[in-house]
Amino acid sequence: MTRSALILCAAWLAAMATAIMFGSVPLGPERVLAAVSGMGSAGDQIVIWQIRLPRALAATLVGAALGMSGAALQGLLRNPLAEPGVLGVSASAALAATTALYFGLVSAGPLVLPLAAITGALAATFIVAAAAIRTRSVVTLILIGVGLSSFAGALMALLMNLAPNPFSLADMVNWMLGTVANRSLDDLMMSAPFLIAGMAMLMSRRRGLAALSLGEEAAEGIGLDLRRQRLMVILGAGLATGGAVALAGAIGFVGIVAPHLVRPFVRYDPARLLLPSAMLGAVMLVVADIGVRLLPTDAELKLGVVAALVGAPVFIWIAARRRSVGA
Amino acid sequence: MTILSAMGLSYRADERALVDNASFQLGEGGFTMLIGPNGSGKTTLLRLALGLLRPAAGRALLCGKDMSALPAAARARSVAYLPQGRSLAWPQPVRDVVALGRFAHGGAVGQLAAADRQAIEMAMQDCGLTGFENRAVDTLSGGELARVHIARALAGQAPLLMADEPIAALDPHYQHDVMQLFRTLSRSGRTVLSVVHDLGLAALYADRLIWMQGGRIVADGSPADTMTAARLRDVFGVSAEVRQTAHGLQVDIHGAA
Repeated sequence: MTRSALILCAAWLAAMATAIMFGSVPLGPERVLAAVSGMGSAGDQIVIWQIRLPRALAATLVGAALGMSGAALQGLLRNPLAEPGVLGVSASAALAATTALYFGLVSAGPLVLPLAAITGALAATFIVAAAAIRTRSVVTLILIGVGLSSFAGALMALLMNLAPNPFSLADMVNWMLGTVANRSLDDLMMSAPFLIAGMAMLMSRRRGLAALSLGEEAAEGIGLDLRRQRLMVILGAGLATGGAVALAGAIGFVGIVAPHLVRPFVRYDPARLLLPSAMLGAVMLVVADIGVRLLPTDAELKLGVVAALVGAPVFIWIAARRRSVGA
Repeated sequence: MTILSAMGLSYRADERALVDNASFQLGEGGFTMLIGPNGSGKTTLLRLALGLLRPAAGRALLCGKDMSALPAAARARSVAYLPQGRSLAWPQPVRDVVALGRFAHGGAVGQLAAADRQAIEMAMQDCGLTGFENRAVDTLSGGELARVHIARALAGQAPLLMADEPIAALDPHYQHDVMQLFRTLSRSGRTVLSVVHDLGLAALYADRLIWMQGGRIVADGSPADTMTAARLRDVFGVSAEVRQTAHGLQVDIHGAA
């Protein structure tokens, strides 16, 4: 563990503690401890175990998955502006979920929506992975992702256009905005295997990401199996992103901002970037969600909206300051 | 002993033969240069010989074993490759970039064994990069950056080094510097195969020239034997004069023929 990892760990613990203590009913440390050890009042236990903890854990998982996927895709594509959204995975997951909402499939059970999102993410992932096997060019890969993303966006707009009533339209819009409100531990258990499997795949290919900083040809030259690397990173990012979208809807920019902030602290090494990016992504979303809950707005702000409001300007700032070496 | 053996390598793209039935062998040591005009197939031949491209016909053998059947890491431990592309994605410190040369040996930044560290140290010393360890690569000049790439290739300590235009875009001082370094390496037992565009440098430094034209190897031999005014006109389309001087073989190109 490096010092930055320790600091991030402490920041996450602090954020989690804050998320559990504060809300419409503030709970002091002694009440939290009592409830966690199974001794507090029934009300306190419900608030902590069924509302605040699942919500904060959902923000943690989603932030970690997006942060790590962003870092891995940036390493793979050698571009600091890459993120899960770029490959069309997020949009396809969102499309599949909106389709389920449109056709009223959601009434069949609580798992329909997350399952639809993961199916959509995997479908998009397979398309991009198939392209990754066939083409040598990173630009082709990015353009296929952009095309996929736009197409999924267009289909989503079509569904909203045709929405039978304002309620289903509101459902779709709400879901697209992205939130971790009202998540249960069951929702978490549903998505967690995908999120964790995806992140494990990414971690297992981190050395290859370091090799790719030399460029693809030189990376092959030093002994990297390029096709396998691409396949595994895209599959891993697809699984993790699909799980994240299933859990929280579409939340953008975490995958760009978290790796960018961490990068100088790992001396720009794409391999050592993965874990701290995941941790910072988790901290960012837990903190942002605390803000969303505590801000006194009439309608509760959606996490995805706040993430985009902060993230998009940072995206532009990174793009404007971008420097590459010997290009 | 034969290190690399290219046997009848051919490669086609869109019905056009980029490399056509090319054969050559490389023994231990020696500085061999691959020369030829633009589009004559030098880079493609290098990639075929490395096993990075699948040939339409022919085979490349590394110490008797089929190159394309070798796992990537095993191949990389035997052959260091310096491609034309020099861009680095991130402003990493010089030492971390050179350390990537230990990739096939299992070394990575943050988990280097003593042998890895020693190889990295030696490679940086050979390339005159001592003192540059912690410089970010985006603060380097073109010549310094080229040395970082060469050091990266040397850090793997592979017996064979293949370089694709390692001195392109370098000023004359660095060009001679790199050529001298390659010659020194080849004298100490490493086999060096490099694509070089500067015919004057080729005449001065190469032990052996492999001439390519239209995808085929049209001549193969020492500079003294193969570097003639007639061949320069045939292959490169230039009128030139070749003289033996006190400094070695000198090529004066007067203009396009």
